[in-house]
Amino acid sequence: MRFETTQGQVRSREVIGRFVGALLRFSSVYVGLVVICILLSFVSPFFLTVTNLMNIVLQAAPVSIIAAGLTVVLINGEIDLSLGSLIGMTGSVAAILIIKEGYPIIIGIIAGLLSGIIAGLLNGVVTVIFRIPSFIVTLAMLGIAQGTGFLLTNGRPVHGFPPLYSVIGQGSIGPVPVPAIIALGIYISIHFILTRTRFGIEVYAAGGGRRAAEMAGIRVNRVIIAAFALSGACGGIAGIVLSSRLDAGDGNFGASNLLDAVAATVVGGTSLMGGAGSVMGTLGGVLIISVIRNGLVLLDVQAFWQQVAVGVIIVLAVVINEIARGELNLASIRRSLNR
Amino acid sequence: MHATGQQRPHAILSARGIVKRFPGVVALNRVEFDLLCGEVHALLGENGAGKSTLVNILTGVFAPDEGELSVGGAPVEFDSPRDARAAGIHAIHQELSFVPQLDIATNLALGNLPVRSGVFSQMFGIIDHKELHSRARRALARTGSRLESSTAATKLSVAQAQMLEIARALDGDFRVILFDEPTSSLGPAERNELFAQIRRLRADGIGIVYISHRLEEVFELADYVTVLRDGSVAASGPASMFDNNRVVELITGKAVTQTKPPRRPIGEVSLEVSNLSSPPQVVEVTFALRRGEIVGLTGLVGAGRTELAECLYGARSVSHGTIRLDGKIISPSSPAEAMKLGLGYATEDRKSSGIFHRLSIELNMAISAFGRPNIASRFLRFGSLLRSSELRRIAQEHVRNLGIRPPQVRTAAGTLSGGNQQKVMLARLLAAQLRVLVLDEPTRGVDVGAKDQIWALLQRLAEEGLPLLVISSDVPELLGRVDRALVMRRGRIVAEIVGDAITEAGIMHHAL
Repeated sequence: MRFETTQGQVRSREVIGRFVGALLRFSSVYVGLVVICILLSFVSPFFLTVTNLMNIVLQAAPVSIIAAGLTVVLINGEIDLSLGSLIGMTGSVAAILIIKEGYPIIIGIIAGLLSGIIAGLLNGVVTVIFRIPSFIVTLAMLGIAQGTGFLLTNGRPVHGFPPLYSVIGQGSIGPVPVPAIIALGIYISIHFILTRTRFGIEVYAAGGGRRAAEMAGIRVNRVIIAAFALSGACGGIAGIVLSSRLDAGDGNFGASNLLDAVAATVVGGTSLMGGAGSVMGTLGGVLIISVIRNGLVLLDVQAFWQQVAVGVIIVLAVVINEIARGELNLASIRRSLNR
Repeated sequence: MHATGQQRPHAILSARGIVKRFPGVVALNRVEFDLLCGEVHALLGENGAGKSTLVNILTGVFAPDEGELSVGGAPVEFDSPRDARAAGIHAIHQELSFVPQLDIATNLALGNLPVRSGVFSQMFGIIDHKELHSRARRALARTGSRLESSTAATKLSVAQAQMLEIARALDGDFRVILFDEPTSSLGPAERNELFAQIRRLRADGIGIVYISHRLEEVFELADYVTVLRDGSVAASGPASMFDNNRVVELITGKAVTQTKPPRRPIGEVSLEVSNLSSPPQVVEVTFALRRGEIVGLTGLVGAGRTELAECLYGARSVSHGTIRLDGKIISPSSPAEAMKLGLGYATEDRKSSGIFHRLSIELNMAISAFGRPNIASRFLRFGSLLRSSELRRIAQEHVRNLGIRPPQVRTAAGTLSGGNQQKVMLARLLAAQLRVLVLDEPTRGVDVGAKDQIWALLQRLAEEGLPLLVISSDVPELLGRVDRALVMRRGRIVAEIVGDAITEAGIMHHAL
């Protein structure tokens, strides 16, 4: 029996097939995710309900968006520590323009995104022109962005977005929250950019070997600036989403999300040395961390333990990975301690 | 003179029947080596003859596959460089191994810092600065150095840093010191200082292994000479039994059978370089490269060949001079720009600046073409989106033409053998459809079969009219394959040899 298929159907199947293929390549992350979910479903009957699962993805959305940007920068061989604070700053920009100044929603959103992109561009430009490690540059930007957020909002949350703006963070299509849909869109886009465009390939190449990339004729510095701009844009989107969900702009928002984003990329198998990684792995990492946080809440564990748990997960993920690759065993531990 | 296999009595360090294999090559084949106390023993050979491998085995970096080492007559087995040092063997490498931020005294004592006596000091490891500096001063005095022990190591010249390394070796009470190309970055005055030092060490009864390409130095210093060729000892004997020509012959092997230089139609000038300088590595270099011509650029390591290529490729700043490409003056300020103009370069250092180990073969091949006007559109839609099927098709074509194994274009390039990685780098330049190619050591670390394939490909490209500049330290491979050979020494082109006149002895004569 044969089915007639249109070209469009074939193409969309191809795209979905590739997406699933990419997910499978990071199967260890997703196997871990499934195992944790199964364990939690035994521990708490509430865990596997639609309400709870949707709550998890809603909570995870802002972290997942900045983690996607962070993944690009890490593959490029750099780091972006300013991403968490960009959430607060960009949300504050939108809040001030829309609530205090009365501009249309779209202007507020565009300005918020632009402020994120500009911060990212600055990160990139300063890193490549002054040859300062991006660790330092983006640490400085962390302070600058957070301070700017506080300055804009005068240190107090600015409340009262119009209802239409609230749809971004609070709306849902069927049971699926809009922030989760936005996040998924970003993951598909960035996955496409990294694997199917010149820029993406050059990000991997420059991160894998800066000198080799230069000698192959790649304008490495421009690639780095663009990667930071993309990362800043992710910070901006996350800022809009979170400000809408919490119905406020505040310089403090997002500050704690950086740890989770770094954890997610590490768990997802992105190399902090650059040159390797994938947003699909990061997505799995974000979900693992969010599910564990949710599980701890369901188990009535004190909130501060969640922070400890995320720290432990970072190290554990790397250790498990090394054991799996056969690079960590008793002999190697002895050698390490003898050096 | 051929003492091969014959053991010299009273050796402080000796190696018997050393065999070391690497994937695809036998680096050392039954090598015998004896070093006496108070002797400077020169170890000679071409790049790739096995000198470094032998040094690495003598200093515990590698373990030999067969054969044995003995120190002072007692058999030893080194598991690590630490073991070799414990046995009194120390190597002074070209790259110096001290911490620039620390002062000389601390550098000298690293790994063996003196701790003050007393329970508290012992427990917390409180450093005995007085002892640290007096030890350093003693070591510096032994090398005849006037340096202060509290000088920061950053302030040292290369020669002084080398003195520091020697002082450290003396501090450690070593019996054998190996010098690996110690003069490659020294001026004449510094070199004389180093030689005086080496003579002092010899007088103290220390055994010295001296590796250098510069034959005049060898005859100035060495008591005994061992020549390696293709991983075996070609000759070994007292230095008085050799002369310059004999050594060159031994290093390069027998007179190579002369093959007729290929006759290709040679076209008009494509690349014209005049007075190009980037001192001190490149000085007033002038030459021209014609269509369909293969020109070999040779000379010793450190003669400035790679630096010259980097000047052409925009990877090194040029102080003056001009580059003309097809009549038009160009001055590329980056490799990206040079590539855009049509000038391609494959680096000698495939591992760290050539191949992208984690990217697939097909992406490794296509990546330079992305920056080429007109050609990029074969690989990219709208200048940005990959045309995957086209990319794969072109990559498969190159894999077939170049005989790359394994032929799966989606394999990570890092998993390929050296020869196949080299072919991938060539394919990258071919895919970018450039107007001039500069290839730096395209056959280094490549097995014999792949070497011939690479040369066959270069001949084919030249027949199609592409001008090629091939940098090589492996002089024999240039014979009969290049139309002209340029010889560089200390930044200058000192000779140009055409066609049949190209001989190994001739080239070595100019290079040394």
